Amino acid sequence: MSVRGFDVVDCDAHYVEPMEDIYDYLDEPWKTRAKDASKFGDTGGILPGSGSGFRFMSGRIQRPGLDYPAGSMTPADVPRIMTRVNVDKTILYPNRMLGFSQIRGDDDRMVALANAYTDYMLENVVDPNDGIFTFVPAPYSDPTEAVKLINRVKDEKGIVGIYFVTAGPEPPLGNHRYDPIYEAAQSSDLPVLFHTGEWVGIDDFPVRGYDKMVETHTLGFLWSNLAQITSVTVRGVPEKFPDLDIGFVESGLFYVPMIMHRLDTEYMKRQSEAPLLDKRPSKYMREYYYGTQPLEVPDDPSMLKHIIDMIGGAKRLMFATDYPHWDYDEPKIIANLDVLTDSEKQRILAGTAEELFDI
Amino acid sequence: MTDELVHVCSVEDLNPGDYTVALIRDTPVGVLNADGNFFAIENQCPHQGGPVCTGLVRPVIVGEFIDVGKRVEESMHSERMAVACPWHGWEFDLQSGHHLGDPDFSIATYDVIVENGEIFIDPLSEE
Repeated sequence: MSVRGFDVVDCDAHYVEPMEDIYDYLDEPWKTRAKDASKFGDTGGILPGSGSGFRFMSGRIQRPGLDYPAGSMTPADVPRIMTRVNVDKTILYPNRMLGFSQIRGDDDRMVALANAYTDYMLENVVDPNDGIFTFVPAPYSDPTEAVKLINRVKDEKGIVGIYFVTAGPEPPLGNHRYDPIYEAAQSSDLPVLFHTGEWVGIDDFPVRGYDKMVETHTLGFLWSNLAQITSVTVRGVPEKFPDLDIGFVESGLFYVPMIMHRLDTEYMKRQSEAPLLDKRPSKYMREYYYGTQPLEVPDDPSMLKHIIDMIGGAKRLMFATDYPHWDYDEPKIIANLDVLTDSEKQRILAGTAEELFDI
Repeated sequence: MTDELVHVCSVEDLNPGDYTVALIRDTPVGVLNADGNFFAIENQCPHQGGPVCTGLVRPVIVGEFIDVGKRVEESMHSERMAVACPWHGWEFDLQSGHHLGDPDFSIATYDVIVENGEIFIDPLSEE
Protein backbone atom coordinates (compact mmCIF):
# COMPACT_ATOMS: atom_id res chain seq x y z
CA MET A 1 0.00 0.00 0.00
CA SER A 2 1.20 3.55 -0.43
CA VAL A 3 0.25 7.10 0.32
CA ARG A 4 0.39 9.32 -2.74
CA GLY A 5 2.89 6.85 -4.20
CA PHE A 6 5.18 6.84 -1.14
CA ASP A 7 6.09 3.74 0.85
CA VAL A 8 5.54 4.15 4.58
CA VAL A 9 7.31 2.69 7.60
CA ASP A 10 5.75 3.42 10.97
CA CYS A 11 8.58 3.80 13.50
CA ASP A 12 6.30 4.22 16.53
CA ALA A 13 3.06 2.31 16.61
CA HIS A 14 1.71 0.59 19.68
CA TYR A 15 0.52 -2.87 20.48
CA VAL A 16 -1.90 -2.77 23.39
CA GLU A 17 -0.67 -5.94 24.97
CA PRO A 18 -3.16 -8.31 26.66
CA MET A 19 -1.74 -8.61 30.18
CA GLU A 20 -3.49 -11.92 30.87
CA ASP A 21 -1.62 -13.50 27.95
CA ILE A 22 1.66 -11.84 28.94
CA TYR A 23 1.41 -13.46 32.37
CA ASP A 24 1.89 -16.88 30.74
CA TYR A 25 5.39 -15.77 29.74
CA LEU A 26 6.43 -14.61 33.20
CA ASP A 27 8.91 -16.58 35.26
CA GLU A 28 7.80 -17.71 38.70
CA PRO A 29 7.00 -16.41 41.23
CA TRP A 30 5.75 -13.49 39.14
CA LYS A 31 3.53 -15.71 37.01
CA THR A 32 1.56 -17.02 39.94
CA ARG A 33 1.51 -13.63 41.62
CA ALA A 34 0.08 -11.96 38.53
CA LYS A 35 -2.42 -14.67 37.65
CA ASP A 36 -3.70 -14.94 41.20
CA ALA A 37 -4.00 -11.17 41.46
CA SER A 38 -6.05 -11.17 38.30
CA LYS A 39 -8.23 -14.02 39.55
CA PHE A 40 -9.08 -12.08 42.66
CA GLY A 41 -9.64 -8.80 40.87
CA ASP A 42 -6.42 -7.30 42.14
CA THR A 43 -5.42 -6.16 38.67
CA GLY A 44 -3.72 -2.91 39.54
CA GLY A 45 -0.76 -4.53 41.20
CA ILE A 46 1.52 -5.67 38.37
CA LEU A 47 1.68 -2.27 36.70
CA PRO A 48 0.18 0.77 38.41
CA GLY A 49 -2.38 2.57 36.30
CA SER A 50 -2.21 6.06 34.90
CA GLY A 51 -4.06 8.83 36.65
CA SER A 52 -3.63 11.44 34.01
CA GLY A 53 -7.22 12.05 33.03
CA PHE A 54 -9.43 11.27 30.07
CA ARG A 55 -6.98 10.52 27.29
CA PHE A 56 -9.75 9.93 24.79
CA MET A 57 -11.64 13.05 25.81
CA SER A 58 -14.57 11.12 27.24
CA GLY A 59 -15.40 9.56 23.90
CA ARG A 60 -14.60 12.52 21.63
CA ILE A 61 -11.70 10.46 20.26
CA GLN A 62 -12.55 6.92 19.21
CA ARG A 63 -10.90 3.86 17.68
CA PRO A 64 -13.66 1.84 16.01
CA GLY A 65 -12.88 -1.83 15.57
CA LEU A 66 -10.45 -1.90 18.48
CA ASP A 67 -11.12 -2.81 22.08
CA TYR A 68 -9.14 0.21 23.16
CA PRO A 69 -8.68 2.06 25.45
CA ALA A 70 -10.79 -0.25 27.59
CA GLY A 71 -9.26 -3.54 26.48
CA SER A 72 -6.29 -4.94 24.57
CA MET A 73 -5.30 -5.78 21.03
CA THR A 74 -4.92 -9.16 19.38
CA PRO A 75 -2.22 -10.15 16.88
CA ALA A 76 -4.83 -10.01 14.11
CA ASP A 77 -5.36 -6.31 14.83
CA VAL A 78 -1.86 -5.40 13.69
CA PRO A 79 -2.12 -6.06 9.93
CA ARG A 80 -5.63 -4.61 9.95
CA ILE A 81 -4.32 -1.41 11.55
CA MET A 82 -1.45 -1.26 9.08
CA THR A 83 -4.05 -1.21 6.30
CA ARG A 84 -6.16 1.32 8.17
CA VAL A 85 -3.30 3.82 8.56
CA ASN A 86 -1.65 2.97 5.22
CA VAL A 87 1.74 1.74 6.39
CA ASP A 88 3.87 -0.93 4.72
CA LYS A 89 5.95 -1.82 7.77
CA THR A 90 5.37 -1.20 11.44
CA ILE A 91 7.61 -1.20 14.47
CA LEU A 92 5.68 -1.73 17.67
CA TYR A 93 6.16 -0.36 21.11
CA PRO A 94 4.06 -1.76 23.93
CA ASN A 95 1.34 0.16 25.67
CA ARG A 96 1.12 -1.03 29.22
CA MET A 97 4.85 -1.75 29.48
CA LEU A 98 5.42 1.98 29.12
CA GLY A 99 4.37 1.87 32.76
CA PHE A 100 7.92 0.88 33.69
CA SER A 101 8.24 4.54 34.59
CA GLN A 102 5.99 3.88 37.57
CA ILE A 103 8.11 1.04 38.94
CA ARG A 104 10.44 2.46 41.53
CA GLY A 105 12.90 0.25 43.34
CA ASP A 106 11.42 -3.10 42.19
CA ASP A 107 14.11 -4.30 39.81
CA ASP A 108 12.82 -7.83 39.63
CA ARG A 109 9.36 -6.88 38.40
CA MET A 110 10.70 -4.79 35.53
CA VAL A 111 13.06 -7.56 34.44
CA ALA A 112 10.30 -10.18 34.61
CA LEU A 113 7.91 -8.07 32.54
CA ALA A 114 10.52 -7.04 29.95
CA ASN A 115 11.39 -10.65 29.26
CA ALA A 116 7.77 -11.81 29.21
CA TYR A 117 6.68 -9.03 26.83
CA THR A 118 9.57 -9.72 24.46
CA ASP A 119 8.87 -13.45 24.37
CA TYR A 120 5.14 -12.90 23.90
CA MET A 121 5.70 -10.53 21.00
CA LEU A 122 8.21 -12.80 19.27
CA GLU A 123 5.90 -15.77 19.57
CA ASN A 124 2.57 -14.17 18.74
CA VAL A 125 2.81 -10.79 17.03
CA VAL A 126 6.10 -10.11 15.28
CA ASP A 127 6.38 -11.25 11.65
CA PRO A 128 9.24 -9.76 9.64
CA ASN A 129 7.86 -11.25 6.43
CA ASP A 130 4.71 -9.17 6.92
CA GLY A 131 6.67 -6.09 7.99
CA ILE A 132 5.87 -6.35 11.70
CA PHE A 133 8.72 -5.66 14.10
CA THR A 134 9.19 -4.66 17.71
CA PHE A 135 11.65 -3.15 20.18
CA VAL A 136 12.97 -4.75 23.35
CA PRO A 137 11.97 -2.79 26.46
CA ALA A 138 15.19 -2.27 28.40
CA PRO A 139 14.68 -3.15 32.10
CA TYR A 140 16.94 -0.27 33.02
CA SER A 141 16.56 -0.82 36.77
CA ASP A 142 18.92 -3.81 36.44
CA PRO A 143 21.50 -3.21 33.70
CA THR A 144 23.01 -6.68 34.12
CA GLU A 145 19.68 -8.34 33.38
CA ALA A 146 19.00 -5.87 30.58
CA VAL A 147 22.24 -6.98 28.90
CA LYS A 148 21.23 -10.64 29.31
CA LEU A 149 17.91 -9.96 27.61
CA ILE A 150 19.52 -8.06 24.75
CA ASN A 151 22.06 -10.82 24.15
CA ARG A 152 19.35 -13.47 24.30
CA VAL A 153 17.23 -11.95 21.53
CA LYS A 154 19.66 -9.86 19.50
CA ASP A 155 19.65 -12.20 16.52
CA GLU A 156 15.86 -12.33 16.21
CA LYS A 157 14.88 -10.77 12.89
CA GLY A 158 11.79 -9.26 14.45
CA ILE A 159 13.80 -7.30 17.02
CA VAL A 160 15.09 -4.06 15.48
CA GLY A 161 16.13 -2.04 18.51
CA ILE A 162 16.08 -1.43 22.24
CA TYR A 163 13.97 1.24 23.85
CA PHE A 164 14.06 3.15 27.13
CA VAL A 165 11.12 4.89 28.71
CA THR A 166 12.24 8.49 29.21
CA ALA A 167 9.81 9.20 32.03
CA GLY A 168 10.89 7.65 35.28
CA PRO A 169 14.54 6.51 35.23
CA GLU A 170 16.50 7.95 38.11
CA PRO A 171 19.31 8.69 37.79
CA PRO A 172 18.64 9.89 34.25
CA LEU A 173 19.74 7.78 31.32
CA GLY A 174 23.09 9.44 30.70
CA ASN A 175 24.38 8.07 34.00
CA HIS A 176 27.24 5.57 33.77
CA ARG A 177 25.20 2.83 35.46
CA TYR A 178 23.39 2.31 32.16
CA ASP A 179 26.63 1.97 30.16
CA PRO A 180 26.45 -1.85 29.93
CA ILE A 181 23.08 -1.55 28.19
CA TYR A 182 24.43 0.88 25.61
CA GLU A 183 27.50 -1.28 25.12
CA ALA A 184 25.36 -4.36 24.53
CA ALA A 185 23.13 -2.50 22.08
CA GLN A 186 26.12 -1.15 20.19
CA SER A 187 27.82 -4.53 19.94
CA SER A 188 24.52 -6.08 18.82
CA ASP A 189 24.10 -3.37 16.19
CA LEU A 190 20.71 -2.47 17.67
CA PRO A 191 19.67 1.20 17.79
CA VAL A 192 18.52 2.64 21.11
CA LEU A 193 15.27 4.59 21.08
CA PHE A 194 13.98 6.83 23.85
CA HIS A 195 10.19 6.87 24.23
CA THR A 196 8.29 8.68 26.91
CA GLY A 197 6.17 6.74 29.37
CA GLU A 198 3.10 6.61 31.52
CA TRP A 199 2.26 8.53 34.63
CA VAL A 200 5.63 9.88 35.59
CA GLY A 201 6.42 12.71 33.27
CA ILE A 202 2.75 13.11 32.39
CA ASP A 203 0.95 12.55 35.64
CA ASP A 204 3.78 13.88 37.72
CA PHE A 205 2.56 17.27 36.59
CA PRO A 206 -0.93 16.87 38.12
CA VAL A 207 0.76 16.06 41.41
CA ARG A 208 2.23 19.53 41.20
CA GLY A 209 -1.09 21.20 40.62
CA TYR A 210 -1.71 21.22 36.88
CA ASP A 211 -5.35 20.89 36.07
CA LYS A 212 -6.11 19.07 32.83
CA MET A 213 -4.38 16.68 30.48
CA VAL A 214 -4.00 19.38 27.83
CA GLU A 215 -1.46 20.86 30.24
CA THR A 216 0.13 17.69 31.60
CA HIS A 217 0.51 15.99 28.23
CA THR A 218 1.86 19.13 26.58
CA LEU A 219 4.51 19.34 29.26
CA GLY A 220 5.02 15.77 30.40
CA PHE A 221 5.94 14.04 27.15
CA LEU A 222 8.11 16.97 26.20
CA TRP A 223 9.77 17.22 29.61
CA SER A 224 10.74 13.56 29.67
CA ASN A 225 12.45 13.69 26.31
CA LEU A 226 14.16 17.00 27.09
CA ALA A 227 15.43 15.55 30.37
CA GLN A 228 16.93 12.46 28.77
CA ILE A 229 18.35 14.19 25.68
CA THR A 230 20.19 16.49 28.08
CA SER A 231 21.50 13.67 30.25
CA VAL A 232 22.41 11.29 27.41
CA THR A 233 24.21 14.01 25.44
CA VAL A 234 26.01 15.87 28.21
CA ARG A 235 27.11 12.72 30.03
CA GLY A 236 28.68 11.60 26.77
CA VAL A 237 26.79 8.44 25.73
CA PRO A 238 27.45 9.10 21.99
CA GLU A 239 31.10 9.78 22.81
CA LYS A 240 31.50 6.56 24.84
CA PHE A 241 29.64 4.50 22.25
CA PRO A 242 30.35 6.15 18.89
CA ASP A 243 28.74 3.41 16.82
CA LEU A 244 25.49 3.43 18.77
CA ASP A 245 22.49 4.81 16.88
CA ILE A 246 20.27 6.93 19.11
CA GLY A 247 16.71 8.15 18.53
CA PHE A 248 14.00 10.08 20.38
CA VAL A 249 10.30 9.71 19.65
CA GLU A 250 6.90 11.13 20.45
CA SER A 251 7.51 14.77 21.25
CA GLY A 252 7.14 16.28 17.78
CA LEU A 253 10.06 18.20 16.26
CA PHE A 254 9.97 21.85 17.33
CA TYR A 255 11.64 21.16 20.68
CA VAL A 256 14.75 19.69 19.07
CA PRO A 257 16.42 22.90 17.79
CA MET A 258 15.46 24.60 21.04
CA ILE A 259 17.35 22.13 23.21
CA MET A 260 20.22 21.96 20.71
CA HIS A 261 20.88 25.66 21.04
CA ARG A 262 20.07 25.83 24.74
CA LEU A 263 22.59 23.08 25.46
CA ASP A 264 25.22 24.68 23.23
CA THR A 265 24.84 28.02 25.00
CA GLU A 266 25.22 26.38 28.41
CA TYR A 267 28.03 24.07 27.33
CA MET A 268 30.16 26.83 25.86
CA LYS A 269 30.16 28.50 29.30
CA ARG A 270 30.53 25.32 31.36
CA GLN A 271 32.60 23.01 29.18
CA SER A 272 34.75 21.74 32.10
CA GLU A 273 31.61 20.12 33.56
CA ALA A 274 31.37 17.88 30.49
CA PRO A 275 35.04 17.14 29.67
CA LEU A 276 34.22 13.95 27.78
CA LEU A 277 32.53 15.87 24.98
CA ASP A 278 34.62 16.54 21.92
CA LYS A 279 32.19 18.94 20.26
CA ARG A 280 29.10 20.97 20.98
CA PRO A 281 26.00 19.07 22.14
CA SER A 282 24.06 20.12 19.05
CA LYS A 283 26.57 18.37 16.82
CA TYR A 284 25.92 15.09 18.63
CA MET A 285 22.18 15.73 18.42
CA ARG A 286 22.38 16.23 14.66
CA GLU A 287 23.44 12.60 14.49
CA TYR A 288 20.42 11.35 16.44
CA TYR A 289 17.15 10.28 14.86
CA TYR A 290 13.74 11.72 15.65
CA GLY A 291 10.22 10.39 15.32
CA THR A 292 7.96 12.98 13.74
CA GLN A 293 4.77 12.43 15.75
CA PRO A 294 2.87 14.40 16.96
CA LEU A 295 3.97 16.66 14.12
CA GLU A 296 3.47 20.36 14.62
CA VAL A 297 2.32 21.99 11.39
CA PRO A 298 2.19 25.77 11.80
CA ASP A 299 0.10 28.13 9.68
CA ASP A 300 3.29 28.95 7.82
CA PRO A 301 4.71 25.52 6.90
CA SER A 302 8.06 27.09 5.95
CA MET A 303 8.71 27.29 9.71
CA LEU A 304 8.53 23.51 9.86
CA LYS A 305 11.01 23.30 6.97
CA HIS A 306 13.42 25.51 8.93
CA ILE A 307 13.02 23.24 11.95
CA ILE A 308 13.73 20.15 9.85
CA ASP A 309 16.81 21.82 8.37
CA MET A 310 18.06 22.81 11.82
CA ILE A 311 17.66 19.24 13.05
CA GLY A 312 19.75 17.91 10.17
CA GLY A 313 17.28 17.29 7.39
CA ALA A 314 15.01 14.50 6.28
CA LYS A 315 17.68 11.89 6.83
CA ARG A 316 17.34 12.32 10.58
CA LEU A 317 13.58 11.93 10.65
CA MET A 318 11.32 8.90 10.82
CA PHE A 319 7.58 9.01 10.32
CA ALA A 320 5.48 7.61 13.16
CA THR A 321 1.74 7.20 13.58
CA ASP A 322 1.60 6.36 17.30
CA TYR A 323 -1.63 4.54 16.46
CA PRO A 324 -3.91 3.73 18.26
CA HIS A 325 -3.07 6.54 20.67
CA TRP A 326 -5.22 9.62 20.82
CA ASP A 327 -2.85 12.01 19.05
CA TYR A 328 -1.66 9.80 16.18
CA ASP A 329 -0.60 11.09 12.77
CA GLU A 330 -1.70 9.90 9.35
CA PRO A 331 1.09 9.45 6.74
CA LYS A 332 -0.52 12.18 4.67
CA ILE A 333 0.72 14.70 7.22
CA ILE A 334 4.15 14.19 5.61
CA ALA A 335 2.96 13.30 2.09
CA ASN A 336 1.00 16.57 1.82
CA LEU A 337 3.79 18.87 2.98
CA ASP A 338 4.52 21.14 0.01
CA VAL A 339 7.69 22.46 1.64
CA LEU A 340 9.35 19.06 1.19
CA THR A 341 10.53 17.44 -2.04
CA ASP A 342 9.23 14.00 -2.95
CA SER A 343 12.63 12.59 -2.13
CA GLU A 344 12.53 14.14 1.34
CA LYS A 345 9.01 12.86 1.91
CA GLN A 346 9.97 9.30 0.96
CA ARG A 347 13.05 9.50 3.16
CA ILE A 348 10.97 10.54 6.16
CA LEU A 349 8.07 8.20 5.44
CA ALA A 350 10.21 5.08 5.03
CA GLY A 351 13.84 5.57 4.00
CA THR A 352 15.36 6.61 7.33
CA ALA A 353 13.69 3.81 9.30
CA GLU A 354 14.51 1.18 6.71
CA GLU A 355 18.17 2.16 6.80
CA LEU A 356 18.39 2.61 10.57
CA PHE A 357 16.62 -0.63 11.47
CA ASP A 358 17.84 -2.58 8.44
CA ILE A 359 14.31 -3.65 7.43
CA MET B 1 -40.13 21.61 -3.13
CA THR B 2 -37.52 22.60 -5.70
CA ASP B 3 -35.25 20.23 -7.54
CA GLU B 4 -32.19 21.67 -5.82
CA LEU B 5 -32.97 20.05 -2.47
CA VAL B 6 -31.31 16.72 -1.79
CA HIS B 7 -33.44 14.15 -0.07
CA VAL B 8 -31.68 12.42 2.82
CA CYS B 9 -34.12 10.16 4.64
CA SER B 10 -37.28 10.09 6.72
CA VAL B 11 -37.36 11.76 10.09
CA GLU B 12 -38.30 8.46 11.67
CA ASP B 13 -35.09 6.92 10.28
CA LEU B 14 -32.88 9.41 12.10
CA ASN B 15 -33.36 9.26 15.83
CA PRO B 16 -31.57 11.49 18.36
CA GLY B 17 -27.92 10.45 18.39
CA ASP B 18 -28.05 8.97 14.88
CA TYR B 19 -26.29 10.20 11.77
CA THR B 20 -26.32 9.37 8.09
CA VAL B 21 -24.19 10.47 5.15
CA ALA B 22 -25.50 11.94 1.90
CA LEU B 23 -23.65 13.15 -1.17
CA ILE B 24 -23.80 16.77 -2.26
CA ARG B 25 -22.03 17.08 -5.58
CA ASP B 26 -19.64 14.21 -4.64
CA THR B 27 -18.98 15.76 -1.22
CA PRO B 28 -19.98 13.50 1.67
CA VAL B 29 -22.22 15.44 4.01
CA GLY B 30 -23.20 14.08 7.39
CA VAL B 31 -26.72 14.66 8.66
CA LEU B 32 -27.08 14.35 12.41
CA ASN B 33 -29.94 14.37 14.86
CA ALA B 34 -28.64 16.18 17.95
CA ASP B 35 -31.32 16.09 20.63
CA GLY B 36 -34.05 16.40 18.07
CA ASN B 37 -32.38 19.13 16.01
CA PHE B 38 -31.01 18.28 12.58
CA PHE B 39 -27.66 19.49 11.31
CA ALA B 40 -25.82 18.91 8.05
CA ILE B 41 -22.04 19.19 7.99
CA GLU B 42 -19.22 18.30 5.64
CA ASN B 43 -17.96 14.88 6.64
CA GLN B 44 -14.24 15.58 6.27
CA CYS B 45 -12.14 17.07 9.05
CA PRO B 46 -9.77 19.85 7.93
CA HIS B 47 -7.11 18.40 10.27
CA GLN B 48 -6.25 15.06 8.70
CA GLY B 49 -9.42 14.13 6.84
CA GLY B 50 -11.33 12.18 9.50
CA PRO B 51 -15.08 11.33 9.32
CA VAL B 52 -16.36 14.16 11.48
CA CYS B 53 -20.06 13.34 11.54
CA THR B 54 -19.43 9.89 13.04
CA GLY B 55 -18.07 11.43 16.22
CA LEU B 56 -19.48 12.28 19.63
CA VAL B 57 -22.02 15.11 19.80
CA ARG B 58 -22.20 17.03 23.06
CA PRO B 59 -23.08 20.52 24.29
CA VAL B 60 -20.24 22.99 24.00
CA ILE B 61 -18.40 23.44 27.29
CA VAL B 62 -17.96 27.09 28.24
CA GLY B 63 -15.85 28.67 30.93
CA GLU B 64 -16.79 31.76 32.90
CA PHE B 65 -14.40 33.88 34.95
CA ILE B 66 -16.44 34.59 38.06
CA ASP B 67 -14.10 36.54 40.26
CA VAL B 68 -10.47 37.01 41.21
CA GLY B 69 -9.26 33.96 43.12
CA LYS B 70 -12.31 31.86 42.23
CA ARG B 71 -12.23 28.72 40.07
CA VAL B 72 -13.36 29.28 36.47
CA GLU B 73 -16.88 27.96 36.26
CA GLU B 74 -17.33 25.34 33.56
CA SER B 75 -20.75 24.48 32.24
CA MET B 76 -22.50 23.02 29.22
CA HIS B 77 -24.02 25.58 26.87
CA SER B 78 -27.78 25.39 26.83
CA GLU B 79 -28.05 25.65 23.05
CA ARG B 80 -24.75 25.24 21.26
CA MET B 81 -23.86 21.70 20.28
CA ALA B 82 -20.56 20.42 18.92
CA VAL B 83 -19.38 17.30 17.12
CA ALA B 84 -15.88 15.89 17.73
CA CYS B 85 -13.97 14.24 14.92
CA PRO B 86 -13.22 10.74 16.27
CA TRP B 87 -9.70 10.65 14.84
CA HIS B 88 -8.20 13.39 17.03
CA GLY B 89 -11.03 15.14 18.84
CA TRP B 90 -11.18 18.36 16.78
CA GLU B 91 -14.55 19.84 17.79
CA PHE B 92 -16.83 21.89 15.54
CA ASP B 93 -19.87 23.97 16.39
CA LEU B 94 -22.76 22.26 14.63
CA GLN B 95 -24.42 25.55 13.75
CA SER B 96 -21.47 27.54 12.43
CA GLY B 97 -19.09 24.71 11.51
CA HIS B 98 -16.25 26.57 13.23
CA HIS B 99 -13.60 24.75 15.27
CA LEU B 100 -14.28 25.57 18.92
CA GLY B 101 -10.65 26.58 19.47
CA ASP B 102 -9.91 28.46 16.22
CA PRO B 103 -12.65 29.67 13.85
CA ASP B 104 -10.10 29.86 11.02
CA PHE B 105 -10.64 26.10 10.80
CA SER B 106 -14.12 25.04 9.89
CA ILE B 107 -16.25 22.49 8.12
CA ALA B 108 -18.98 23.41 5.65
CA THR B 109 -22.52 23.46 6.98
CA TYR B 110 -25.79 23.23 5.09
CA ASP B 111 -29.39 24.10 5.86
CA VAL B 112 -31.60 21.15 6.72
CA ILE B 113 -35.25 21.31 5.68
CA VAL B 114 -37.83 18.99 7.18
CA GLU B 115 -41.03 18.71 5.22
CA ASN B 116 -43.80 16.14 5.48
CA GLY B 117 -41.65 13.93 7.67
CA GLU B 118 -38.76 13.90 5.23
CA ILE B 119 -35.31 15.43 5.65
CA PHE B 120 -33.68 17.45 2.87
CA ILE B 121 -30.41 19.36 2.48
CA ASP B 122 -30.26 22.62 0.58
CA PRO B 123 -26.95 22.39 -1.32
CA LEU B 124 -27.09 26.07 -2.22
CA SER B 125 -26.93 26.99 1.47
CA GLU B 126 -23.34 25.80 1.88
CA GLU B 127 -21.34 28.00 4.27
